[in-house]
Amino acid sequence: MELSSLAFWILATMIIISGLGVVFLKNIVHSALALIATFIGAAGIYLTLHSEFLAAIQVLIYAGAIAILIVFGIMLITKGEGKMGETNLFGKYKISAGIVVLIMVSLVSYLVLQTPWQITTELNESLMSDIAKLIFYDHVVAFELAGVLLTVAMIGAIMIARGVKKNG
Amino acid sequence: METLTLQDLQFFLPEVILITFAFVVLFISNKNKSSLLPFHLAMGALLGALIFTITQLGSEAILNFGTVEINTFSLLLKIVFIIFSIITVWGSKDFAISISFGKEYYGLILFATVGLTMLGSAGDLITLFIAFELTSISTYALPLIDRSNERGREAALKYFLNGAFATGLVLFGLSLVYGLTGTVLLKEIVPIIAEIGYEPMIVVALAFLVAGFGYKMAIVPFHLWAPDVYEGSPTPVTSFLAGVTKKGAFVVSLKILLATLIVIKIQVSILLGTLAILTMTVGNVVALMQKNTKRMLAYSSIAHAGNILVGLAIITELSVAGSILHIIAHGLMTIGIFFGILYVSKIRGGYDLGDFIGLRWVAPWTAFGLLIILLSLAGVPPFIGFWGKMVIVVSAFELGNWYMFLALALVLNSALSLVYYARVIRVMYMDNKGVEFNMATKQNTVIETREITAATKEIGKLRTSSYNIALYVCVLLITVTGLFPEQLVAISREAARFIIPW
Repeated sequence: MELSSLAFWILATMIIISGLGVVFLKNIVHSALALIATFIGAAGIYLTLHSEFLAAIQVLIYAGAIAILIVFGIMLITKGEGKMGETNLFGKYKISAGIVVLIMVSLVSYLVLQTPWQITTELNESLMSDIAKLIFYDHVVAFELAGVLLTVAMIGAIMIARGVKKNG
Repeated sequence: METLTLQDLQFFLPEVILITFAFVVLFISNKNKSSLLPFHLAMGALLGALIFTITQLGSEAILNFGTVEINTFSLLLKIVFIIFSIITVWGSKDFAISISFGKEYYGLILFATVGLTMLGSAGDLITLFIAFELTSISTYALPLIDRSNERGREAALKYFLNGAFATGLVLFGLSLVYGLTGTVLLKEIVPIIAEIGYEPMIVVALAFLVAGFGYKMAIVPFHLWAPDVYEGSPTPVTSFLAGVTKKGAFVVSLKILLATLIVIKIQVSILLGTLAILTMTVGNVVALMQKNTKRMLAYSSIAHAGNILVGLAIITELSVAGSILHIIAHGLMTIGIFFGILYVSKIRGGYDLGDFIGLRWVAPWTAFGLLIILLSLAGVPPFIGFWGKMVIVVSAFELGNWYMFLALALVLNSALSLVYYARVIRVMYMDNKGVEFNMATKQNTVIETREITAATKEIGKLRTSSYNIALYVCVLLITVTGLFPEQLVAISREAARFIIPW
């Protein structure tokens, strides 16, 4: 077994375990911490694929910024102990949801294994400059639209939040 | 197929105008609530965008490595969506003054229009998805725009959660398509999928796409959010959601489904056909039982989504042209009728069927406008609503086979829908009393009669209300395009040619 595939299996196990932790841990703050572990594991996977830039971005944006936002969100809206059971309105559908998800996952993963995917062994776009070229040449229109989209999301969110304050 | 040049930027002028003015509208002073400045800015931006789009008519271009395409299809849809937004903004003039978020209302509508105009011209999955998301995200906050409307909260939450879920499904489907083909360009996806041939994964991708777009288009069985959202939102917002942004979902589905389904055309045709029949029937049958006109029209718009889906299921040039035509027709009719019933609710106090009693004497022109739109919705010639259905039915007859069932279902459903449209017409044009057939007890019951004279004192002031103007503009467009449909049908056919990849 090559060392890189060993790294992959270790990281994959870490992602799955911490992913299960996000769902099953009783305390919502612990779930958030497990989520950060998941993000870092994914960054590790990017590293094994020779995509250093994506790995760095993953750590900076997801494990850093987004995780902090989530923790802040939890801090601001959680009442009491932060037990997951209290916040989950749909907990009583556990069993039926489990059955549906199990069927869905097994079907899709069976088909994923059957399908001949377009696999490239060498990444063309691993350097920062290559990614920049993709964003600012090939997909510049989508990039600009994404900028507008994020602004609009902010405007909508501010509008909703401001209105609540005004009405008490 | 090359990178953007300075000359290419002229094709983005409408979008640039809309985005710039949307920011200007948001940044102007908020002090004077009754100021018409945001309204004039929004109208000016939309008119400017419309003029620049019209000057591009006839040009054809593939920009920025194929991620943006300018052709008859994209220009037709740009013009249609901008006109829809103009009518909505024009009609909402009185509404926007009455709420505290008037300029945000215009700003969000302008941003949504940018997304819609980009939908038509997007040539790859990423641009298409982001444009679609821009449209959705701009409208998520709209049901909440009027804070005095308590039901808006429920509507906004339902709309947001369902929309976010649907977006997730769509994104998963798109990523599967990308994984199979290795490209995001629609033009390249078609030959690659044809070469790969039948793969089970394509079915999975299509299942995700159909479910995701099904939510956005509110087709049965993904329709459950629509009536609550349409009823709970402020009516101008309902008219924008049902008449404009929902049509965006149809445009994306047309583009993406046509590009991906080439290998399993027959199966997809059967799937979409079944969904279409289900959607039309459920929409119409449930609409029959509604007493609240807003809710009735929500179900009617579900039924019309089924009509459009029939054109998508037949998958010929003519049927897709029929779908495009019906998208345009239903957009006009929906915007018009929601503003019409908004006016009625202003002078009578509610949206129930009982509020329409004797409308003919109270507001004759509004009643007449509603009459025309209701007839057009039912598919009575010579209005535009008839021609969309007509083209779809003709395209079904050209193919024969089981497509005849689709055509038959469409015709029967149109007849069924006439029942509840005619009920509104009868109530409007009858005397002071209304009689209604009660589905539950299977007998006629007298609808609550309202005093006509008492509630109508304010009418003189309201007669020139912007709600009426939007209604009249829609009625005019419906009638004119209905009387002279050749031009529009020809353009729709030419547009369909650009998105059918074979």
